[in-house]
Amino acid sequence: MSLLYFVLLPLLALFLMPLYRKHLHIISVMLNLTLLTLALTCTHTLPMVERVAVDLPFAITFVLERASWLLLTLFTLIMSLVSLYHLRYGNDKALFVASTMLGVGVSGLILSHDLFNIYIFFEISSISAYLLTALNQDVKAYGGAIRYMIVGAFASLFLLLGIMLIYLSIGVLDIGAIAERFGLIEPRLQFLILLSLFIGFGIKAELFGLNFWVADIYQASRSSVGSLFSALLSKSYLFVLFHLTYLLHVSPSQLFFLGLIGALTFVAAEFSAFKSHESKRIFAFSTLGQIGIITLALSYADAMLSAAALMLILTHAVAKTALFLALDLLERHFHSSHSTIFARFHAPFLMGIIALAGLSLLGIPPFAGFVAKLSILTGLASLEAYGAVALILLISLIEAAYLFRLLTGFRQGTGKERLYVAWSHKLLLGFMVLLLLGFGLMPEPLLQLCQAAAASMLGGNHVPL
Amino acid sequence: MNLKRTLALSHLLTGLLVSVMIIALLGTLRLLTPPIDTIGETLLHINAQSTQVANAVTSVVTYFRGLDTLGEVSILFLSIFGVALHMQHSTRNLFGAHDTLLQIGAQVLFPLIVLFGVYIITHGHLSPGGGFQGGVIIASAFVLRFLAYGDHYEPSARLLTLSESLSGAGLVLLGVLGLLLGDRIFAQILSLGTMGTLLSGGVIELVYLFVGLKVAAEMTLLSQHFIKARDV
Repeated sequence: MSLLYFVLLPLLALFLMPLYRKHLHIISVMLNLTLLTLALTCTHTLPMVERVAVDLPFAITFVLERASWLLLTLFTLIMSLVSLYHLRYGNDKALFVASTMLGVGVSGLILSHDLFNIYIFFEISSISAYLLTALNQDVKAYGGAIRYMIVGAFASLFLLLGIMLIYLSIGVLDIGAIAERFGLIEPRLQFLILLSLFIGFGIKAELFGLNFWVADIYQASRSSVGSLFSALLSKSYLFVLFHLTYLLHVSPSQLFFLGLIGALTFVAAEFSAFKSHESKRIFAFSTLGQIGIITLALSYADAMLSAAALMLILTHAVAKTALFLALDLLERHFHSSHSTIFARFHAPFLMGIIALAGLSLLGIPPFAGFVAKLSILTGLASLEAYGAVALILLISLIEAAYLFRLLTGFRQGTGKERLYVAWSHKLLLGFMVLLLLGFGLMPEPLLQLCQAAAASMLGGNHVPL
Repeated sequence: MNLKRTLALSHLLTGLLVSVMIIALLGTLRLLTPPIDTIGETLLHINAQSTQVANAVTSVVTYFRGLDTLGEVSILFLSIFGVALHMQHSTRNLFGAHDTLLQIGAQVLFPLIVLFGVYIITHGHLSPGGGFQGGVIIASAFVLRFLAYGDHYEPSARLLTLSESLSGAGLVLLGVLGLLLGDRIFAQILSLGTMGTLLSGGVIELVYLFVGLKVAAEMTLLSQHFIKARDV
């Protein structure tokens, strides 16, 4: 089985679109379920190394090891869930094109081991994200998309600068070969390259100092699109950033800098979420907060903490998808995503889903989010990083405050409107919450997968040329 | 710390980072030394061994780094889809010209420009040119018709969409065939001719043919969207 199918099959489905233009929503589900099945069938053949182009020094290598497999499976699962969610709303050509291309982009980002090829997939996922932001085709959506495009161009510029400097210095683009020769580069130039790559990926990974645009983009987009941004886009960029960080063996001070950025991202985002009263902004800032914790944990380059961070990536992606999709149902009904809509409806199932996914996000037992956050805290404590433990616990109180404020909205208001939720949506949302509950009650299999993935990530999954 | 202050701090930090970056860039560009291995000689050596393509740049674009080219074609598709989706259309052409001389000129030049575009595509492996350049040249023939005929000219949307779609699918299928029958995406599954002749490129020529057709259809659609835009 070729790893290229994760890129080629969606592209084929897109280019053949005129042949089945009235059934795009069905094709989308079939495609994503096929890709999910393909990802699951790779479990027993890991690690997979495939030379997409064989002639050195032009070779492009795709690598699927434990960490990238975990993310690929997560991404195809989330794409499948989101496409199943949209099945009920019929044909949407723009959504089909943009979301399928986003899938191509993020898959390529995590599979490719060639820096220029990564840049191509970076562009594909970026342009897809601009299109997804503008789906609503109103002033707010266009404003958000244009802002995103300007920021994205800025990120592309820095990434391209970093790639250019690497190529001019050592004449290779394969990241395994770059890792071998990176030490030959003059130290000041090394710093400049790392800074360029950090700004390029940091903007897209929504890190502090580079994430001022994020909440506006989420607010301008449809809520269902927010689930793709939160679960796929930011996670893929974060993965590539840390993949490169570990491969290039950056110095402890640079890892400390990343950890500091992570901590600042967490603190600033949680305070911003607390100040906000718009649900999509709250969820957007909450995503930033979790990215902050993940960045902080990954910056220690420790096996246990990295496994915990990967677990948080998985649990957060599922919880946020459930929350954003539930919010999408509300937004379609009320044409608003202000937090006051929580007081205007009566739908016990939907209220339950939002509450349970919110609790997992917060790290309350028995949900999977609890296991992930507890693993991060114990990992930090084992490294005697008590300051980081205290910070996470303290700031989590703010997270608890705004999430409970949101949930108490259910108890307010009178004369509530009864909201109908389709069975297909109930099944989907219920499945996601059951996943969170299941992995919370029986976390061992997932933890083992995350530990294997972390070992592979920290080992550098180096493919020597 | 309120939201505005957080955002202001973010802006400040970003500004600082960018400033540091620019200063560092200016200061360290002088540190660049030539790469340890120069790529030119290696490329010519590998090209002579793997392909019979006289234009080594074409080998890089379509064969050695064919996946990047497929990605670039996808980016073009996505960008033009975005423009088509969001542009407000008018039923009237912006250029309502009715100049007989221009129309006769366009009539004469149209086949010549298309022919030139086809030449550039089919000879991309022999001389500078290829699918992207040839495709844009073919699209320019259609732009000339838009300008000359105004509202009286409307290329078949069905034909353009089908060309764009089938050429894209053809390109992907060629990649899949390479994977199934050869050792890579766009593997040489066709026999190679003698270097310097028209049929020497094997799969490379097919790649450029599909790219050229796709670029021509997409650029024509793009031009049509801009020309018929309500506000420019």
